Amino acid sequence: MVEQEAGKRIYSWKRQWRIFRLLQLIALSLGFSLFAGAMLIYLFPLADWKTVVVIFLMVFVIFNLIYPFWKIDAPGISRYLDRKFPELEESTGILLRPVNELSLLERLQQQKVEVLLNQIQTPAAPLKKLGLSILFMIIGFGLSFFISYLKPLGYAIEAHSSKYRTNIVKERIPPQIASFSLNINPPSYTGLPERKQEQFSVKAATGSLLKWEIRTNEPVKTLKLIFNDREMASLHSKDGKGLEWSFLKTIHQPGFYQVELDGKKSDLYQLELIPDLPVSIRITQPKPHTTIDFGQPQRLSLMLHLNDDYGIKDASISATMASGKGEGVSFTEKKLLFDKGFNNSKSMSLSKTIDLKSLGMKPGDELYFFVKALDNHGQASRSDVYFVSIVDTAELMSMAGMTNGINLVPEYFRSQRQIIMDTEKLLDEQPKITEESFKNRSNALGIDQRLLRLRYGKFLGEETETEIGADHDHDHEEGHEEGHAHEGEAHHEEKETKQTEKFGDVKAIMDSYSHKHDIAEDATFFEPELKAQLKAVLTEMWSSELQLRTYKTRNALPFEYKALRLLKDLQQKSRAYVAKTTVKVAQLKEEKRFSGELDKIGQPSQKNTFEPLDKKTALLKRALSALESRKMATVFKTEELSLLRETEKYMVVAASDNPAVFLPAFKGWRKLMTGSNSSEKEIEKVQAAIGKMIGQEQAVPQLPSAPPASNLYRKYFNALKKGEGANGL
Amino acid sequence: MDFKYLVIGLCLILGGFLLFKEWRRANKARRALRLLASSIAVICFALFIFPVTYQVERPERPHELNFLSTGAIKDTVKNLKGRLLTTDAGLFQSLKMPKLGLIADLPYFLKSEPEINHLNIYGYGLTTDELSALQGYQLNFHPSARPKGLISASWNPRLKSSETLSVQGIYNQEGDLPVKILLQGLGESLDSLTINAKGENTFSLKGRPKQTGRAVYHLIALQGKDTLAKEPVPVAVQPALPLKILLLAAHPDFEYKFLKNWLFEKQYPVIFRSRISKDKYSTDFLNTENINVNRINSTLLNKIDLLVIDEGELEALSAAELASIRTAVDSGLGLLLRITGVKATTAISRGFDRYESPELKNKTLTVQLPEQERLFGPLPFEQALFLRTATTDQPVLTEKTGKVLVSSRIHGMGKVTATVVPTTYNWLLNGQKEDYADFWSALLNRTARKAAATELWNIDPVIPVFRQRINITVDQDAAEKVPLIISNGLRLSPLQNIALPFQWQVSTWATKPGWNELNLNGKTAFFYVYREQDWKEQRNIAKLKATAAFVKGQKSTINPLETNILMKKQVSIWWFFFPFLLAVTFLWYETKML
Repeated sequence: MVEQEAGKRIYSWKRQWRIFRLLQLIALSLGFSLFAGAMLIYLFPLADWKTVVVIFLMVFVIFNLIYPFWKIDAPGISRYLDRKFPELEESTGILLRPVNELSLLERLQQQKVEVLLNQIQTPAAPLKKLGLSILFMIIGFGLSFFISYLKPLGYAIEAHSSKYRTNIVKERIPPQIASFSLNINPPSYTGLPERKQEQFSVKAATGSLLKWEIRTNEPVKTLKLIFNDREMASLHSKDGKGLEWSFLKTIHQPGFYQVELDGKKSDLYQLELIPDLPVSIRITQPKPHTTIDFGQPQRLSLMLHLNDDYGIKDASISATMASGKGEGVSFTEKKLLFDKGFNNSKSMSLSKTIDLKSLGMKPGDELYFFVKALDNHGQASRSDVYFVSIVDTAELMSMAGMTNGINLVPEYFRSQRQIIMDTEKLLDEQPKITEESFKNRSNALGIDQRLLRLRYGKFLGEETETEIGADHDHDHEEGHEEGHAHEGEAHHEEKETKQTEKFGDVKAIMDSYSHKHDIAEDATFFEPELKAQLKAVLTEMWSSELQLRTYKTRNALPFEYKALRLLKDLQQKSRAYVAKTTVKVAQLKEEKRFSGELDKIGQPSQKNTFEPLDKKTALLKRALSALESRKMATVFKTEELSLLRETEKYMVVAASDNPAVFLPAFKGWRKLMTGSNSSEKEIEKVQAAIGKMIGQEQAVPQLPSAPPASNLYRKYFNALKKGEGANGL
Repeated sequence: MDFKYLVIGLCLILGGFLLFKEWRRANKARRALRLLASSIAVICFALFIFPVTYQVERPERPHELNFLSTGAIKDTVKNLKGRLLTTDAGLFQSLKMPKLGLIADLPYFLKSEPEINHLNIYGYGLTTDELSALQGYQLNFHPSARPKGLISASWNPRLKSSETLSVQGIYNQEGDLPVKILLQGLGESLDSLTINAKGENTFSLKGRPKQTGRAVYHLIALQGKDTLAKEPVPVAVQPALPLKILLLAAHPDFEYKFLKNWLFEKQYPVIFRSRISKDKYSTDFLNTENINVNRINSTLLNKIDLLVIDEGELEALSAAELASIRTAVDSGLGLLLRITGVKATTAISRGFDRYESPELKNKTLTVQLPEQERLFGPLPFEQALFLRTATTDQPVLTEKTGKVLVSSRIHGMGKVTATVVPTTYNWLLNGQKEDYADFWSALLNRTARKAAATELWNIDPVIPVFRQRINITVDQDAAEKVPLIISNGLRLSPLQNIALPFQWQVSTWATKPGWNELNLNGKTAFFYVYREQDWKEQRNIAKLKATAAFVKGQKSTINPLETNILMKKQVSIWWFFFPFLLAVTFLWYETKML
């Protein structure tokens, strides 16, 4: 009784733990299979939720083999208890043995352990494990939901597959056909899976291999497929009895087709092809024209994005360098590769840094490059050409442009050049001279730069610094306090003396009270475009001055160079270059002018008549009104019918070129021609399609019409013209 | 009469018999009551058959008539005194008023009742034809509210190929929901417009019909998904007539070359002559026969419809040639001048005053048809030369800001147009074929010689309805000849207008809805007869206006005299039924209970 009691607890645990284990395994495998299934569906859109069940069963079996719940038995539990509870003194095993088999000592121990066993707590481990596995299941559940809501990849694939799935249309299938299937095997480069449909309308990638399998319910002698109304294909019966037929065809041309069973033609079925587009290249960086100024790193970072509908095979940069000038320009071509594998990805972003120096580019050279890409079907595409040029500082320093031709402001340009040269000299000498004198010289250069800027500012009619405050007395004081404005001071003093001299001069007095901003006369010297450029020059000069005066002499150089370059551009713009030539023009003899003999000059005359290649538009236009009159009547008139018959060839061409748009109308047209009752809507559909074929109507000049010219009107007109007056006077 | 006395006799016999039986009854109790009850029952029974009538006097208006036309509203007419009549069977059924009478024809009815001299008209009123029969009557018009929906529309029903169909009209918007108006035809929508504001909104829709021949377009008013109205817009399109054009160039240029080729591909007869040297020319005869064009004379000019010439070439022409051009333009030739210089160099071109404006420096030229929103594509050059229009000039094309680029004027029977746009082929090079076509069509159509038609016909009403009378007016240039008019296979005999000898008029009936054939001197034309439900609101509005105008134009009204008339009235038979019932009940109850 007692030992039964003790064993009972162990046995009940055994049952309980087995159930726990089973639940735990179910939870685990459910969690795992949900997650795995969601991933599979996400990666391979062909998988569906049935796969989850399969995965679940598999995982469950595997888990059971690893952790078999049926192997949880009483001895195992007793071993576990012994390990877990030292107070049981490794003796729980005794409890499981029948009492009569035990020795006396064992019996004693059994009784002791039995008491202890009833005292110990129920081990929590199995319950904990169950809890954990349920948590795992919940996580798996959540993850699978999350994945199924995850769009990007899933969307792309969805879109792809839906693109190729013809929307389900109701088709009229000949009654002799018992069943049929259509296998579509897209070309390998698309990487699309083979698919099967039970619909005659096809939407597939260009070059797909189509396989029709048709089973008829009665023996048929001939079964043909007619493509685009001209290409006939006879099918071979597979079984020889005329019940099973199949046909293989690779399609390269869109259009429509019909099934002909013993001369009976079916409805028209659409054959739509999706062409493979070449890779689209989008360069986000740099801009089409890039100029690298002095001081800027001679590097070019290129960023682009490639897109293709099936896969990109390769892409590279084709760069051409132009170096030298004048007649000595030489070109070097180079192919730069991207350091990234392509492995047929559909869309990728690439970036590359091109080191211009390592390409061998010197200042003054130019680089032209474009990006070439190849898709996995072998179609190549290329981007626009981009230009990069490095400014040649030596060229800027040369006086070539200034020595010949008109020169508006030569000394000023030279000054900017001088400042650059001085700056470079100062930088060279920097180690040799003291900090103090370096700073002084740098500051002096800054002042020079400022002077130059002010002089250019004058061209723009800007108020010069010397004039600011000069016109106003109170500002005048402040001007004095500005220590660094040396020249300003000098000017003020001069002006003061002048003012005293010109005592009584009304204009001078007025000047001192008026605040002058722009000097209108100066401002009219240049065109707005030129002014804008001058302003840009001034901005560069400002920056240069700032750097020089804060003793960052080296930093000033790029600004100085840029200012010089802009000045040069400006200079070139205001001049038209005409090279000297040595052509000698013969003296005109005035008396001989217009006295040439013209008798040898022929009078050419051409005659031509325009023969329109086809009367398509005129015919279609007349067909439109023939269809319109059909709306009122139930049948066509004979001439209308013959007119509409003539439109057939155009309809066929349109339908085979663009089946998605014109095929439904062509079907409607066929129906109309057979004389069956068509609704007004159907006729309008055909009319709309013909309207599309005619295209946009354009205005045509034409003879204006006037009401009939009766004698009365003419008499009135003549009477008015003669000035006889309305009352006949 | 006889029946009446017979009944009275029978009732007397019955009464006598009953009274006799009562008298002889064994039970003598309540004999008097029973006798009374029996006689009451018999008297009441007799009065069932012949109810009591009496006469009363009432004021009436015997000379007045209330006439309800289409659109009359029950609330306004239900309390009307006097006679109520209508000719509209639909209205008669929908109003369900016992007083309302239905007549077939109002003038006929009035003839049969000559005492009526006053009419009150309710609803939308009457048509002009009906109103003309009411001359001399006193009329009062109580119009209903203006109808809603498409209350007016007009369009150009006879077009030449590529001409624009323009439908304009008024929509009377009622609800708050916006209404979309669509011009639809041949399975396509040509134009649409949304109306939001309440009240009467004008609309204008445009489109180029694509067909050659006849087609019925539709004007559709949509509110959400509900179709409020769908009215037919029948349009007949005829092929365009080609122009015969002579181009004279001082020197060949791209503008001439493109214009020439463009016209050539349209299969228009074009002669192009460009000067090589003094009296030496290069000539192209396109789609036409060779003729001598070295000298410009009136024989040559009479053969063509339009002369395009630049100022340089005009200067180089001899005085005799210029004179012949002048005469030809006077008698109808179109002259298109291409002007490039600011100074006029010839007498003919002097009429067009020009000026230079630097406003378009560094800008492209954008051309526009005046009073149209559509802008042409920009032309890539700086236009500095513009035309100053005189009072006799009409601007044909302007620059975006309104400066005139092409202007036209009448010269005798012909027209002279001057253009300062130096090149337009840029449009063709840019693929903007439509702009090029619109530009040159506007210029050439405006300028070219007008071809006088041999006959012109019009029909009245513009929207003829099935079974309506239609008047056809024909103008023809052949004098002394009766036009041959055959409508639907029936030869009609026209009447000559007394004042205008070239005008002939004829009346016929719209016997067939849809397209009707009209054969005019052997030429076939078509007109459309509408069904009765088409353009109903438009007709109602017309009636409303016509009736209001007719009533307003009448002399002052005299109030109709009220006269008293005697009327028979009947006493309700219920008054006799209850005494009868009481009497009979008493007789029965007395035998059973008492």
